[in-house]
Amino acid sequence: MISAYAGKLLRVDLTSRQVRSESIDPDAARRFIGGRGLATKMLSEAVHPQVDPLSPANTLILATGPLTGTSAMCGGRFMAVTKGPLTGTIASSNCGGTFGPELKYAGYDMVVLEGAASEPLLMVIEDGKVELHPAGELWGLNVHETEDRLHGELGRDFQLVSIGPAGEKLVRFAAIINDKGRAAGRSGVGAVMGSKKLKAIAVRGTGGLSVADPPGFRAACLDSLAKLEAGEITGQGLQSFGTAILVNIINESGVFPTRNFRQGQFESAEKISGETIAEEILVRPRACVACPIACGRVTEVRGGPYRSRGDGPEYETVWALGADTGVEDLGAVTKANYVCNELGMDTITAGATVACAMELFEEGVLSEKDVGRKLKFGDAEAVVDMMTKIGNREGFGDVLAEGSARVAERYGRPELFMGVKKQEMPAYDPRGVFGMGVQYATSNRGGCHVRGYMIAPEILGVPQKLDAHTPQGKAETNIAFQNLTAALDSIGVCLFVTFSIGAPELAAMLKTATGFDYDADEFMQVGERIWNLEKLFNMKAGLTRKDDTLPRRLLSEPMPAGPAKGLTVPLDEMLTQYYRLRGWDEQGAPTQEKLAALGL
Amino acid sequence: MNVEVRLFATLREYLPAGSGRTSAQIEMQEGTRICDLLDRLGIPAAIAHLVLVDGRYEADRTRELQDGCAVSIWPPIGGG
Ligand code: SF4
Repeated sequence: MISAYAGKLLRVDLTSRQVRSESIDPDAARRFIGGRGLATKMLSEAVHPQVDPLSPANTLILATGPLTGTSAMCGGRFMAVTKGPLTGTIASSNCGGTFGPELKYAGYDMVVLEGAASEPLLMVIEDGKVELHPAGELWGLNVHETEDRLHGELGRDFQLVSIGPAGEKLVRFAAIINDKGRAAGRSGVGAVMGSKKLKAIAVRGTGGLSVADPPGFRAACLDSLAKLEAGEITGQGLQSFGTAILVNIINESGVFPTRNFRQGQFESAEKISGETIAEEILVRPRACVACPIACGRVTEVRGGPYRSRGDGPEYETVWALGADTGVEDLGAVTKANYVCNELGMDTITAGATVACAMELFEEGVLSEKDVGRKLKFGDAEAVVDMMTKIGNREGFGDVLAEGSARVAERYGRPELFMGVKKQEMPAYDPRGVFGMGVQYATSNRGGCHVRGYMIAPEILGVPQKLDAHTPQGKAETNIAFQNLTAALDSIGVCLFVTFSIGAPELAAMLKTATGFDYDADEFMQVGERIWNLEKLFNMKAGLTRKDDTLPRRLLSEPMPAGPAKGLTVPLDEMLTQYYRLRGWDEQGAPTQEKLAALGL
Repeated sequence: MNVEVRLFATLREYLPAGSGRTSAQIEMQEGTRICDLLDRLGIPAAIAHLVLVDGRYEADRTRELQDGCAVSIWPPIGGG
């Protein structure tokens, strides 16, 4: 038994309804840690990368890290790892809330879901006892109804993950939701759970976790906590204003994608900013387990047609459902966010897909007859309406439920898809922040910001300011961020801690918790190993260098106005540099020497 | 000369009375530098982490401001 781990995983064959408990392999844990890393290793061995992601041959792994559920700050995270139905690449989505720690207290580091059931099922885990129950009565309920029903039946001590109608109906960007408002959001992991007909997992655990070096671990955690509390961003900023505090700076820097990336500034940004949210709709901040940062928002729209209460919106969400669709009504943006939480889908892809459809509509490619209504930029009511239709696959929502890459392709305008590897880019236009360009192009799960958050140095000056308008040095920094994040996603701690601490502090907590002799260098090397393994999975799935690219608009249509006016992304230069620094060949394949050095 | 000042997050408390949610017009002498503006508003230099002049990052606090420009200032912020 390895310290800090529960030491076991639960393997569930949903087809035969067989459940098995297996030990966690200590050698694999040492080399891949847990969470994203260990789950990627197991997925790579179990699933052929060319399987249909929504077939029983795909596997879905919910994986905690060794620090999940310990007293490490922000250690409430788990990952959902599978082959993604949106992208066809590896998918790994991070989720907060209470489920991860509870799973470990029940005795398991991971749940490995194989096959597919013939009828809807509910899985109940209680301290090592596991049962599968028919869940026909839950099928069709939204996430909030599901949680309320299960809490009523099982008791509030159970922590839950579930899918909503979007996951059941295989919306390609359906999410897995925990605590009503925390999502393993991206790449369609919820659709994979839906394809397996697993509606929810309820878990309760009363066990504890032991660490290898209790005084050392306590000291390492206190050191990190002190740095988080002293840091302006993690100590106070995120709690006061949430992540949407970014709206104004990204907009003023001219890289706030507006109307499907036609522009880089939104004239009504102020109306959907973190400051406005704090003044107008914030009820209180909300934190995941053991998190002193509390970036989450409990909000209430108090009047008008969108009166309601719930969680959110985050920065990426106000962008996707606001600026990207040209909507300035904060009440509507917030309501559309609540609908996504309830139906269980990713706000980024949902909003960006409507934005793409709006451009198709304004270009005359889509008609009112196709859509069943007008769909112009700025139409708040249309955005809220389309969220409901997508999540239920009703009317034109059924078309949009496939994501914008497939929508743009279907209507003969593939260049209007604003994403990479079929996944929509989030809220930063790389024409004015070049490092995000190489980040989006190389991200192993398609358009994504949290694989290597280049906004921190290029815009926010953290840890130090880089010139956003030069390609120099971007590949190198991006690689370091990608490796760091891959390791971080494997230990079970939230990415936001990296605004105040880095690899040395994370490695110190990991070492004292597990007893494995990690230092900062090895921690970063584990991240590099995971990144390369993900890349190998994608190559075997059929992806090549030509998939490491950006939409034509960003490569050849100069930014029309603002501080980034006249710029396009100099991707080739950064990409060549990136491959070289990664030790990959010109086609972007890891060389034999690199794989040998990483022990892959 | 006239300068538009925009202050965000916790820095909004340094806006002169009667300003909008995040911005104010301020009358300054020709040759005013960024550091003079920070002094005038009472913003400690250490918390003025990011300064953009007309959307462009400005590291040099002795840079002179031009009539009609917009100066936006943030404390350290993060998100994503
Ligand atoms: S910083 Fe935010 S997302 Fe991260 S653990 Fe805390 S509340 Fe959750």
